[in-house]
Amino acid sequence: MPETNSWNGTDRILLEVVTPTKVELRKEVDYVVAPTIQGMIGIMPRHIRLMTILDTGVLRYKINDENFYMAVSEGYMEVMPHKVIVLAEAAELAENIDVEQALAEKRQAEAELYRPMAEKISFARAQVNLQWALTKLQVAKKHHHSKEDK
Amino acid sequence: MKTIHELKFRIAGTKNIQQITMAMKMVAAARLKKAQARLESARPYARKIAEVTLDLAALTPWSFNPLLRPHHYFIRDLIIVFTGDRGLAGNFHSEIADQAVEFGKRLGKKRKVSYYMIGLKGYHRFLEKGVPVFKRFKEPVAGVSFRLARILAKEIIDWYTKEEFDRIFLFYSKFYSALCQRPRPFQLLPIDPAKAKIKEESGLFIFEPSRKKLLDSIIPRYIESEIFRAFLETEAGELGARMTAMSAAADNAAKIIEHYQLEFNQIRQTMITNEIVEIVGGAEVLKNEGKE
Repeated sequence: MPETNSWNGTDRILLEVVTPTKVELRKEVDYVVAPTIQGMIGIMPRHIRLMTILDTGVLRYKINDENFYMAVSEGYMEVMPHKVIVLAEAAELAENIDVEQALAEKRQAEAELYRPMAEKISFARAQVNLQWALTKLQVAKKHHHSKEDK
Repeated sequence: MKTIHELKFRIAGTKNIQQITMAMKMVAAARLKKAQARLESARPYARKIAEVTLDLAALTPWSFNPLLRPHHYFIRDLIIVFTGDRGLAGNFHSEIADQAVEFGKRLGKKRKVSYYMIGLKGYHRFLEKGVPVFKRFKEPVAGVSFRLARILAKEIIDWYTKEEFDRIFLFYSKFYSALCQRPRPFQLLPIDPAKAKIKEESGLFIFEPSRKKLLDSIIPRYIESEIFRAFLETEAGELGARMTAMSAAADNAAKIIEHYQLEFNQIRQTMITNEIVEIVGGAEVLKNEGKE
């Protein structure tokens, strides 16, 4: 028997974003777009069961034709017909992103990458940090634009 | 017989101790609240990732990943014992350490069991009892970060894949409430998919990019999260135990103060009675003198 939804009489997905230190988001949404390591995928209700690896990037979800954004870093996503679980190492809602701090993180990561090879503590670490800072900035920007449109 | 001065001194001293234990109780309660919040927020991730990993492991033959595969020879066990760094928490630390040793003994006579001690107090307990310690975790355990758990996880995975140990257990105290923490073992490696609740309606399931790649990347995360959780459970348990211990100490101090106070009052009463007797006696004498 297919799972039935009680809310609003329409099909929705329960989106859960969980990090090691917090449940970042738990909401009923209409549509999710997630950054997997093989590219972005969009998930609508009644999706086939799926398990995949997430990349650092922008997660978008839609509620009543309104877009919301959040930054997620590497993790996993499990998709069930009416539920999406995102297990990410870090996640941040657009409204919680501190742009100043993200910019500082970006500068720091860049400085790390440009240092001479011998002094580098960890190239991979710096790359990850840079990616995360960039993602946060991207999310903040998108959030800002979607607000202006209104 | 104690002098009244001595008793006064003791009452004041015990009151001081009572104040200190009460303050420590308050501090532990405040810290416990924080630690508990940290634990509560870490549990969903740990639960979810364990669920996903075990389900995946149950659907996959163990040859897919070295961390699922039991070793051919099956002799050496490692028990990672989680305790705290600070005392004054009743028998919390020694209880964990002692039960870990018990557990190690129960694994069987032919097995070679090593202990990896996390937290100073457990280490000291082992030294006291003369149980050899394989290794000691040197970082402070209070307020441990996920990154630290990751470093430890890496070390453990390395040991397992290099076949230095055939089974790895976590031994920590699960936190139920401030009054109730139970030390328990947990088999970390090899991963035992028997615990998975395999869903009936598994049906069609897509794994991207592939089941093996997914497993290879998720298993280390699962181990990290279990270790992190063990740290948090122990920390919350330690604070809970400290709160209970300090509360009991404050109650005991109150009892002792009451006891001393009683003694003090008795002595004072005797002194007053003596004085009155003396005064009355003196007055009698004066009266008699006046008559003559």
